[in-house]
Amino acid sequence: MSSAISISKVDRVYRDDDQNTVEALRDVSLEIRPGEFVSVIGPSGCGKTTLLRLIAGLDKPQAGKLEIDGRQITSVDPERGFVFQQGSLFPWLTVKRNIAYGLKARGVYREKKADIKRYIELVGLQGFEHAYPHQISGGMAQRVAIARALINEPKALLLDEPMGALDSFTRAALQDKLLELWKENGITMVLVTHDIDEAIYLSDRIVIMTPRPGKISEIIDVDLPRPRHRGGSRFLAMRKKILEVFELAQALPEPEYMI
Amino acid sequence: MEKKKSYHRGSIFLLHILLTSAGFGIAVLANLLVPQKASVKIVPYIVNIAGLQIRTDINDAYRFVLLCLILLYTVIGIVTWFRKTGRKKYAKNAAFRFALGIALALWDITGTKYQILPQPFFPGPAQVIGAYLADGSYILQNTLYSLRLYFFGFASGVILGITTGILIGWFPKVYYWVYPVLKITGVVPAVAWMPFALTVLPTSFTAAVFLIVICAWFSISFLTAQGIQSTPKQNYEAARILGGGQLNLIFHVAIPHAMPDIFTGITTANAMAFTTLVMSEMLGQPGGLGYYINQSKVWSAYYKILAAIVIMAILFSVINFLIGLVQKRLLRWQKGVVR
Repeated sequence: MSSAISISKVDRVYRDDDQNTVEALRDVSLEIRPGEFVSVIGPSGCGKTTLLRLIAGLDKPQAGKLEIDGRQITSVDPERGFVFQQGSLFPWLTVKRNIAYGLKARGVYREKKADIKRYIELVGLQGFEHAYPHQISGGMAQRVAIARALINEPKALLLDEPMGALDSFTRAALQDKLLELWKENGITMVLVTHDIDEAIYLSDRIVIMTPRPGKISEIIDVDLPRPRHRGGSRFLAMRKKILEVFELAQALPEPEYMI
Repeated sequence: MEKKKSYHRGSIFLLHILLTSAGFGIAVLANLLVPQKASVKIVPYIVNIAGLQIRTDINDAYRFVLLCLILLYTVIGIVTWFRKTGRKKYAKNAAFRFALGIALALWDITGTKYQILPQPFFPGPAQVIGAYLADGSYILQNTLYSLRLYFFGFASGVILGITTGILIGWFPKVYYWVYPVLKITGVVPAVAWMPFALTVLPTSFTAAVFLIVICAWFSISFLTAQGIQSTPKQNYEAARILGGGQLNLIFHVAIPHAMPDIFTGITTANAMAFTTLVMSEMLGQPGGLGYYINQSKVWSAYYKILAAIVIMAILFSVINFLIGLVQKRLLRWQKGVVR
């Protein structure tokens, strides 16, 4: 039902045409337990999206090993669902057909046709089955993207800032939806975000990454009971703790004058 | 506000129906009442319709066409009035249709009745209609020839163009070897190849088909390739993660994404295909509307040329309309196409 993901000593370097190199990831190791909800946060350029793409199989590391349930990750696989930041829905397909895409692509459409309706209901999109992506809101589009990934019954769901482009109200609603889906399915979740509150609200563990070169600087256990209260004192304390990590991580410049 | 809106409501709308027909009505009256001053022979024709022998002349036929127009627009108007949708559009067009009727009346007077316009270059509308009475079945035969030529040429051009475009857009190797050839030869007007086409190909029909094919081929494959290449990477990645293989990516991601571009190519190619069609008919076909125009020119029968031009205008508009319908249906997912 859910997967364990093991990442050990992964390096990923990007090289452009002028031989300039960017170290997107250096010596990154991480163990994700089955059914765990892990968030990866960090400023832009810290390699968090690269890490997610490596887990998905969309990209390959130069060094190190990525495994899922003990098997090496070599390519993309429907067992690892992926939700992009935005705009990955097929604009030429209706909501229903976008969700059905995976079934058709895997050739199981006939047997699993009934699932489409179930997943549309799961993400609360009844009545919008025949709408095209440009006719629905950003929040709805992301729910379609989530349903489209879930219909393949993945063992892990990888989310690349899925709520990054949404307003805070829609975002809060979608976060609750995500938690609900996670509890129901019990699948492993890896969420990349730059929203600290989102990470605390959702995850079991928060992986903090820092840029140049991209590496893991700290892993924090979020031991708050669910449902979590966004304004609760322990929540805020956790938030403060993470902010402190970032202030350290961002290496403040030396003061020019000493008074 | 209310006054402004009322023009497509209720009784005011009836006035628009009347206005639409009034222009054509005036044209009918002008034809009936204005005396024939210039020396134009109004010869009787015997028209055979469904076994009935009808004796008619060009004025009768012209008035018949006008009455048909009045009937058509009145019926459309009444249907619109009952269905309440499309009233605004109908009302908006009323003034133009009225002016069209007046223009026909003036044309009739200056072209046929008094022949103020230089002759034989500008015959009146009745004489143009007369061409259909005189040459009816021959014009029909040529129209069908043109249609057949257009259909074979354009359909093969579209199929070839889309196939080549997909190959160029998808396979970098094909792009490398074929694209430059396409880019250079694509700017040459298709008719420039006519001497080769006429000598190398077995019949003049296949030669003309060939010309239409290449003129459609280039622009369609060009734009198809562009559409395929501009597919966002994220769409491919999403499809691959969902379990899509190579064929799935081509047929369910790249091609649907290229559809708007393919249609831009088809509309552009269509306009060029009309040009190529008529030109090749004028230069070396045993039939077709272009051929008919050429033949009529020899006899200075300008009313026949105008008659062929009218057929072309109607025919090509209908073809454009049909392509537009297909496009609207296939691209209904695009922003702005559906509301």
